[in-house]
Amino acid sequence: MEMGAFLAAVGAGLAIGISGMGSGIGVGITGAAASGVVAEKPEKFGMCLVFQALPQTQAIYGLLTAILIMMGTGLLGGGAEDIPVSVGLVAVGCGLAVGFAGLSAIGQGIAASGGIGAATEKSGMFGKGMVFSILPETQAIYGLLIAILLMAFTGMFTKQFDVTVNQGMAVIGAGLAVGIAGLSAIGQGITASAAIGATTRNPDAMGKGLIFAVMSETFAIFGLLVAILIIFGVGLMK
Amino acid sequence: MFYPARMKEVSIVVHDDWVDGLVKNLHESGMVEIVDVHKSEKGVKEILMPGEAKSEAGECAALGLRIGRITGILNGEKHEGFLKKLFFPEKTEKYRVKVRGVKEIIDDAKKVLGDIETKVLNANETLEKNKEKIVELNSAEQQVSSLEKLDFDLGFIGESEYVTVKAGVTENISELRSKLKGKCAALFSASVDEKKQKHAVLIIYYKDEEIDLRKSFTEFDLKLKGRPGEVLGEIKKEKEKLEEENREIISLLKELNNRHREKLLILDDELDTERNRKEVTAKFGKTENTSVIIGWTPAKNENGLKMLVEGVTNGYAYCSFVWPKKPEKVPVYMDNPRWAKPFEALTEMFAPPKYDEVDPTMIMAPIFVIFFGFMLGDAVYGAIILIMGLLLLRGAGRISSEMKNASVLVSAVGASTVIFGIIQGGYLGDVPARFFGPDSEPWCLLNGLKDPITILIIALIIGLFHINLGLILAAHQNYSKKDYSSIIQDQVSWWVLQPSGGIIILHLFGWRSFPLTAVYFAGMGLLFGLALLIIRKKGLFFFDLTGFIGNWLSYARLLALALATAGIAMTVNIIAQMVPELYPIINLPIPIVNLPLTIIIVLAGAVLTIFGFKKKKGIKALAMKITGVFLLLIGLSGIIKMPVLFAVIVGGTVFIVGHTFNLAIQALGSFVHSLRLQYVEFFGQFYSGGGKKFKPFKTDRKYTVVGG
Repeated sequence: MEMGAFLAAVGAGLAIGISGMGSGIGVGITGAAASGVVAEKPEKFGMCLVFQALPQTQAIYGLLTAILIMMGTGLLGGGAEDIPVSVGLVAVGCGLAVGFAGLSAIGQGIAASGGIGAATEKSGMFGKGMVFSILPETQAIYGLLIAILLMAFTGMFTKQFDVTVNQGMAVIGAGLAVGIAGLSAIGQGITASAAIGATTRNPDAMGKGLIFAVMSETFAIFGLLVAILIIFGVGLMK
Repeated sequence: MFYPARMKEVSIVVHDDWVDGLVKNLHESGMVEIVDVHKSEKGVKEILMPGEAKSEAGECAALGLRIGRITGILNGEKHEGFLKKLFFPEKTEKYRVKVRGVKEIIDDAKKVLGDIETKVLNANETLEKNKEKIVELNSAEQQVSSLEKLDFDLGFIGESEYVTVKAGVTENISELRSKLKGKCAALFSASVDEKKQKHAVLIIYYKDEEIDLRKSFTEFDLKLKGRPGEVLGEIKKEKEKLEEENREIISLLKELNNRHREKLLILDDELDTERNRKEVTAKFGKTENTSVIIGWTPAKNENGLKMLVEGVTNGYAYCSFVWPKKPEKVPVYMDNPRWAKPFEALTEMFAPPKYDEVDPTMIMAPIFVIFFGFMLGDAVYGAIILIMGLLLLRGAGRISSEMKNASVLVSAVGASTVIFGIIQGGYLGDVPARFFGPDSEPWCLLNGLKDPITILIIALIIGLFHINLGLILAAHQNYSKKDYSSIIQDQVSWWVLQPSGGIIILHLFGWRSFPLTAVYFAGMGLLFGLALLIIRKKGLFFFDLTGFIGNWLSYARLLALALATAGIAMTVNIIAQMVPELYPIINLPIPIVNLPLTIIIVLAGAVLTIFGFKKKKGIKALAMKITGVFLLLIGLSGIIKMPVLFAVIVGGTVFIVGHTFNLAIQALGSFVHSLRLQYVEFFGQFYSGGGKKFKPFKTDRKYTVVGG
């Protein structure tokens, strides 16, 4: 196997591997809360399942990116032999972006387990709990966004590659920026979980709770901006 | 139009002779929220005596509880499936009733209760007792049957003058034996379950002997006489007797239910209505001959309400309507047109608006629906949601108004998804092109997987539009509060910052070139906008800037979710296509090539399957089903060749399961992410909510309609 295809495979692996781990942990945290609830109230099973579905999305983004990388580089469908190293490096950047940002599922799991508790206590809290629990997914979306931009600007969607090895090396930095900043979701999840509790006690606290919870996203945006600046700085965005 | 309905504070003074009639009419009209005079700020409470609930209120409440209990027992427990309840609920027609006086209702309720209450309660008590007894008998039966092999008179169990006799089961017979070793004791045992090494044991020992058997075996506390075989027969007979008795009771209850159900439900409604009417007078103020009612009503009801009061009381009432002075005390009635009503629930989920605040429902509704469709973007998924919505509308939607609203919402987002699915060319992902060749690729305006950048740009433009719509609403709100400095600092600052910041960035990065004067003005604008922000927020202005950018970039989720739906659908299709290719590896050797024989096998399989499914229950039916399906498969594989069949079955399963999962999880995602864009990015600009909902004094009949 040539180096380009090898790197592309690593990128696909990183994308689904790390995000799968994040989703696994997030779903696990939610599942723990859910099993406690259904022991007391078996009729809440369906509601718990919905909350548990939220932190699964990160792995879906990971899977999507992995498939797109494999299709774009011919690992799926053939033609992987001719993949240049530069494109392989871009794939690694995509994998890092989506993979690490997928760890946001841990924060989402924490928030969703708070949502399960609140919705069990008060049936009116289902929707509000959902809204708070969805917040820590933004980081994963930013990761996916960078991956999509990278693939689009380097020609992976059209298979008309237009990227140098140096550019490929540099976009690994972009992937790291948005990916690791995505871990801010864990803090956001903790805030969201507490805000769910506060909103259960006082429904009017929702608006302010949202402001507190969204605060953590600031740092994910820093990561996103730096990633975009890197893509621009190395001349991929024309 | 974009604000909650204007409300007026209404005060009614009515002569006591007309109070009952007025209360009844107010209750039926549902126009007024009645406020407790003694908690109001009207300044009249000091000069009024407190009102009292009418004497019948307590009686109505007590009778209502008793009737409720009886209907609960008679109705029994019904286990209706969740899906059936949603889509095909039992049709409940409301009974038409005539209006009756409270005395007549109370007498009628007493008579009905006199007729059946004791009968029903006694029957229910016996039923419950019998059920308990049956549970006890079942456990005794289980214990006795495990002792059956030992065959001794169970009456021996217990203590006699010299010996103690114990019976039970053990899973560790050797330990038990060792405990009894050297004592004055005898042990009889018989194997019950060889796998678990379970033994039934009978232990007899001298009663002064101290032996601790607790951990070694489970003791049966049986108070029965006779050998196990005989006892089992007796238990069986006793159980049959109880079950027979229960069947009789249930049929008696059923018969009573058929005979009295209508009457009981009507009385339940009538008593509840009357209780509300008789209790509400406690909220009134009193003078010697008049009652004073204070409440809220939407201003558009003013004339109607005035006419109603005058009509009912023959003019023996005084009615006044005043605009509220303190907006925070006014209850909020969201006054949206019919099409937007179903979306009020989404606004309320955040918080109902304050009285002097914009009610965003009408603006949010279409945008929510559009965002949902944009993010899900698959015509087939949309059609499935639309069909579910319509089924819901004619199912549970007919029964409760909440479900009706929900079904309208589901249908709307379904329709929107169909439209965006066509625009994005999504039909279960890329099914047309993948399975029917590139020539069948459907028309498509925006393909996310081929040109994500265009969709990203559209998403960000939508974001700018949405955020600025929020800013416009905020400015309008500030304008009507005459808070002009907030308009300049909170809204105008952004309207200056956005274009000038945009020009500067585009210029610096060299994406676009502008004439120097434009750049110069943009720079001035940027400084001006920043200055406004700094004045307002001091050091925190930086977070405002990142917050704004964050809000804007957050709309990238429109692209991310659209791509996720299409991408995962495509992945499902790829896997469904790939799995059948594994056939040569699995390669099931079924060498049937004889066509007439295969046709006979197929027919036999089909007959067996049909009969199997007709029978439904039992081991025979199961066997028929399995053999039938198996024969069908073998036969069909002979006709259409194994690889094709394998492809259809395995690939089809992957396809259906995968798409169901994708639809469920992406629809959930689209719903909450669309809601988030409303709550965080849009509401964040102008809306805080926290109003108190208008709760009119209104009848709530569950089983009846008046008239006819």
